[in-house]
Amino acid sequence: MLEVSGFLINSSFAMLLLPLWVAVMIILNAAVPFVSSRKLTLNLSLGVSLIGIIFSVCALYFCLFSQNAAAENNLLWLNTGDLRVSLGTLVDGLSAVIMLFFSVIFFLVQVYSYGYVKEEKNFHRFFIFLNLLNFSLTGLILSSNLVQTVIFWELSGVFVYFLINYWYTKKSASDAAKKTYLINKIGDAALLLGVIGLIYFSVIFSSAENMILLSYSNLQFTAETLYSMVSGKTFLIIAMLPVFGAMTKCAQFPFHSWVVDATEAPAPVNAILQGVIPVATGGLLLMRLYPLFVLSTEVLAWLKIVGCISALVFAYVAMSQNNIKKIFAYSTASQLGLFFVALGIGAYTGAGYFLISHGVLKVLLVLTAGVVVCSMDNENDIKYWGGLRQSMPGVALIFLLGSGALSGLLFSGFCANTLLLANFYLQDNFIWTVVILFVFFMSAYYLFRVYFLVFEGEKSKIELKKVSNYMKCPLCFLVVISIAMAFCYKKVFASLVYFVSLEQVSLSDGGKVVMLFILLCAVYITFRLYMSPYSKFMLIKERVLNKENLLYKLSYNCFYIEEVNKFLLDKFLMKFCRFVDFIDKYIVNGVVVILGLTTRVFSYLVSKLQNGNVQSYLAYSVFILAAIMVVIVGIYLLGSLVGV
Amino acid sequence: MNILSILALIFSPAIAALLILSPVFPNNEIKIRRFAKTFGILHFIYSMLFLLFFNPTNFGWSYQKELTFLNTSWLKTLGVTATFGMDGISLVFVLLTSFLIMIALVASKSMIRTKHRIYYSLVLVLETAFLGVFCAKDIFLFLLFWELQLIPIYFLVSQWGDKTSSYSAMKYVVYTFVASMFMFLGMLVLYFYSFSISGVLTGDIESLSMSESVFALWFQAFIFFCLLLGFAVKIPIIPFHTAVAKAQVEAVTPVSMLMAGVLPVIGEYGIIRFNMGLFPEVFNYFAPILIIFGVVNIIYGACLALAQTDIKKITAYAGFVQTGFALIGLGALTELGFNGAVFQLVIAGLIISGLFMVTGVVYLRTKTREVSALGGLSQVMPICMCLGFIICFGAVGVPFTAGFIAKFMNLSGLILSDIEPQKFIVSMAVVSAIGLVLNACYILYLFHKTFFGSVLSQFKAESVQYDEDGNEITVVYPKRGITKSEIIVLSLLGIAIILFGIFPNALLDIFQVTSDVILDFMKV
Amino acid sequence: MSVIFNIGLYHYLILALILFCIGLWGVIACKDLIKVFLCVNLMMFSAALNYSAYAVYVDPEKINGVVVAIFIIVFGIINLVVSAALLISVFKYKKNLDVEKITDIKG
Repeated sequence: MLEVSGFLINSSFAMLLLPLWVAVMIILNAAVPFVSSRKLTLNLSLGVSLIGIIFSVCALYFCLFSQNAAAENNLLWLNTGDLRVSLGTLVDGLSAVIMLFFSVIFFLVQVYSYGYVKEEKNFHRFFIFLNLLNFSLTGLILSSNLVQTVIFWELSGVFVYFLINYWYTKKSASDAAKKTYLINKIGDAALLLGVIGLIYFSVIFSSAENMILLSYSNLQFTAETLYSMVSGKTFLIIAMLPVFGAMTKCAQFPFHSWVVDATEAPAPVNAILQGVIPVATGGLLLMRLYPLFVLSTEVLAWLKIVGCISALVFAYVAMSQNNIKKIFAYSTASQLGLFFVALGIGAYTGAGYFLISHGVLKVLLVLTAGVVVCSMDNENDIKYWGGLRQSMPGVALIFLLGSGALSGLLFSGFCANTLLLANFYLQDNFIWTVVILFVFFMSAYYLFRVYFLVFEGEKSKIELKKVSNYMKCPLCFLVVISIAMAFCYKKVFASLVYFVSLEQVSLSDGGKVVMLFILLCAVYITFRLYMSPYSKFMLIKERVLNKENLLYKLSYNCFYIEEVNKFLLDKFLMKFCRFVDFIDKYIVNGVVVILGLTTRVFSYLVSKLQNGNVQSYLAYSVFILAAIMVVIVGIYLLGSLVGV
Repeated sequence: MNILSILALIFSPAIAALLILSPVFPNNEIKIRRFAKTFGILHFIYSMLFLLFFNPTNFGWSYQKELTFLNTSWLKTLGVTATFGMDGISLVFVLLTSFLIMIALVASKSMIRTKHRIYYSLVLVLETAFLGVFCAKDIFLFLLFWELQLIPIYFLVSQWGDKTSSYSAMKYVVYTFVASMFMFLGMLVLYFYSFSISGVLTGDIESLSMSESVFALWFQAFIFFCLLLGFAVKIPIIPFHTAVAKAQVEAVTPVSMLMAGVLPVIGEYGIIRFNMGLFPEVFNYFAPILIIFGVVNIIYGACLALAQTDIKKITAYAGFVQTGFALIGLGALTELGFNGAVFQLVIAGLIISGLFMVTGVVYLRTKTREVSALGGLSQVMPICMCLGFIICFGAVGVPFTAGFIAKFMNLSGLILSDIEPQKFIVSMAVVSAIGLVLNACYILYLFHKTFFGSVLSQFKAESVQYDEDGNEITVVYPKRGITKSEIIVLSLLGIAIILFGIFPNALLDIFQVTSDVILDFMKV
Repeated sequence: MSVIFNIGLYHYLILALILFCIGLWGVIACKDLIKVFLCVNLMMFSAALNYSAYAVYVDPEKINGVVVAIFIIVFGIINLVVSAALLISVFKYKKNLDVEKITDIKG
């Protein structure tokens, strides 16, 4: 078994290129008019994901039982000047775990997608870009060095752009795609700058010829060298820039709006955006660069602050939204904020587990919501829904389990939340503990609010459409995965994903009880608010949850962040651009025009002299000749006077 | 190799142009076009042979040859010879020129409707002028070909362009000519003062070098800036860009492609060959200015592009941004930056002519360039959109397109630079990274406004329109909104962009030794 | 008085200068083309006078100056002939010989 997995890992380049090959095959399949078959496309994509699963299981096995913890393959790609960029694969505990998560989720999402876009005209295009995304994310997860991460990081952004743009005739979809790409481009540029800064120091400090530039396996050493060589400020800047990159991909506070707008995309894309992308890009990068971050308390503090703001603000915002997709989008931002806080506090393993658990559960919930939205004829507003449990009990059950798990009552969500709480609590961080409990409370509130509004209560009048089984089966698998994850934390996860200098902790039973109690309180309050007309709660509902209340308005409009952004863009950036355009038109171009005009005016004046009268020409020339002679004679006379 | 004559490479387009113009040639549109196209392809293949037999580890000039008249040199008494040669950098640019001319000739099929005979011969004469600049080993020969470009460009812009294009062609020619007068002045001063020292009249570029010169720095700087002005207008560097932008916008698409693709390369080639090659000391001193120019090109160009509503103007300003990245690479004075600059120039030539081709295809069909009047073209011309997106993301700088490699190399070359103070370099890098984001903004703005959203009624394939006299005309789109020749052009450009993105060393290895030589020379 | 009546080189030169100035004034100021051409001839002959005066007073042995003077006279005659032909054709074309009305090369 070990030999088999060793062989597979050594051929991981093939693993990387397989999705690309499949994408090409699908293009060919789509191009041939009569033979093109949708089933073939699906089978090819599923096949490549299945190989990915096998590969990652082997990788996991290899990392658990092999003597050497990591296997690396590298290929020199770009060699010019001082720059020697390699592309390669690194299979260690972290990448094996995330690769397994990614390939399993991707497999299920592809099955779901088949059901989702079966009838679409552009069926093949969807799968082409899914496979290209698979390629870029595989390259990102397995990347052996930071430069490669940058490359695949940006590449994944492009394919995400095309996937969101799937319904490109819809203006909102194409605008959302543009926004997503541009916001992520900010992060890309920041990450690129940070990496270039790191390249600078690694080129200067290391003279070894054959070393892989910014290799992850060597990162600890690079970080420590860097820390000892440069000033604190420089180190801080270089370490902060990748954090900004991660913040955009993880939809943290100022960069969150793409994940909300991107809900225009098809549901499977949405699931990937909210569940898979943050794990495989931002989350992975933060965990990879953690050796760099732990050296600077400021970076850790920044992670905490950003995460805390996002967690609180977006959980609060999610509480009052009516669009089911937006609720999940804000929920994603909020939960990833918790991940940031956890990393900032030093809970490396716990944060990783939380991240992956959140990924699975968020994919589950978004896909479930997609099933419901599909059956409700693309109605997103949960106010028009209700009582769906009678007509689709299975989906209701899955949704209930999913919300329970994500809020921390069940399965892997419970494990993840307890892990976070333990880390906070044991580090004597009382304030943080309260904050995180508050976020848990709010999460439970908004998740169960959705459940109660959608599946319980009065039955809605909208006629239900039949949803294909391709869309329902993956949901069950996702629940199973979440359950399975709850059992494999200690034995598998914690022994693969760890940070040497940080110890791993677990929560006492008392803490677990407190947490469960708080979560159940939240569920109870939600139940009372939305399900039973109990007078005291109705009073609160009328007081707090009406459109006039400032707190409600802030939450409903997401603290007007979008408006502020728009204002800044319109009033500052576009004004500035128009100003530059004005300068260009009238000042820069004006100088040229004025120079030209002066020449023309002068030549006009001179041309007046040429009146066609030969005699006047003669007069001018006589006059000029006389003048020249006077000057010459004058100079001669002056010379003779001075005595030269 | 006897078959590889650099004289044949340079002058064969002019001879072909004469052939087209001669009364012997049939005055038949299709025959002229086919002849020019075939010639373009053959010429590109011929220039590829030069690459095939080129020895990239060769330090000096390859394929050197002198053009003699009756066994005497050209202007023998003045020490001026018509000697041509190629080093790695010239070769890369010659290949680019030959490729772009071929592309432009293919693209002309749907864009050019009148005066075919003169048009194709002018384009071919322009090719000779371009190639002569890259291969000239003598400053006066360089100058000759430099000025020779203006004549075909003037007629190409004014005769086949928009309504006001004759004004902008005149503006462009006068503007460029004034600047090149300064360049001429600088060259003359260089020529005579080097004579006053060495006692030998010579126009050979290498022997004019001022590396161990006795002249004062300010005097060298005077010549340096005279030359730089001439090159700056050609590139164009930002305060000197207005005439160029206008001419590029108003020219017909293949001519815009050539102007935006080759002229910046020529300008920066001049900087590399003259400002770097002849004044190493001064260049070391003034390199930060070049970086500032580059950053201004990026930010100012991006802001201008964001404020425009004319798709061709956006494209023209996009070209300035692309050349800005090459300028910062040149100014950084590192091997990485220098290689990045040359790489970026080649790629910018491909990318910008590709963008011009896309806007040209759109303009040809819709007869409008205003952003507000466009939209939803993805449904009428899907293939144009697909191919356009490759070029678009090349311009944005997505990995595995050549744009990414070029920008990455330039930025890291800048950071690795030894120029003091460090803070200046870092802030310039940060600003140009912001430029990367703005760059993505306007290019996506351009594509979204043109291709996405709901399709406007007048662009629907079946719609009936009325011309100025009120007669009914049916707008006929070719199948899938694009003709075969346009598909070939766009896909060739797209393939080149992706190819060099995946195998950057295929291009880099051609000129790395040459750039090593130039940079070693700079360090002395 | 002797200065006036002792005819020497300077007298010839001053006479030539006066003739030249009259000729120049005529060329610039006259409106009639015939007068203009006559004045051109006057200028030429003043130059011839200069040459012959120098030839007599400065270097009597050689006859270079006289040769030039004869050359000028011949040239003047040719000039008259050609200009007469031109004037006739201009008159045929324009119906007058007023210089101020013949401004076809106006810029």
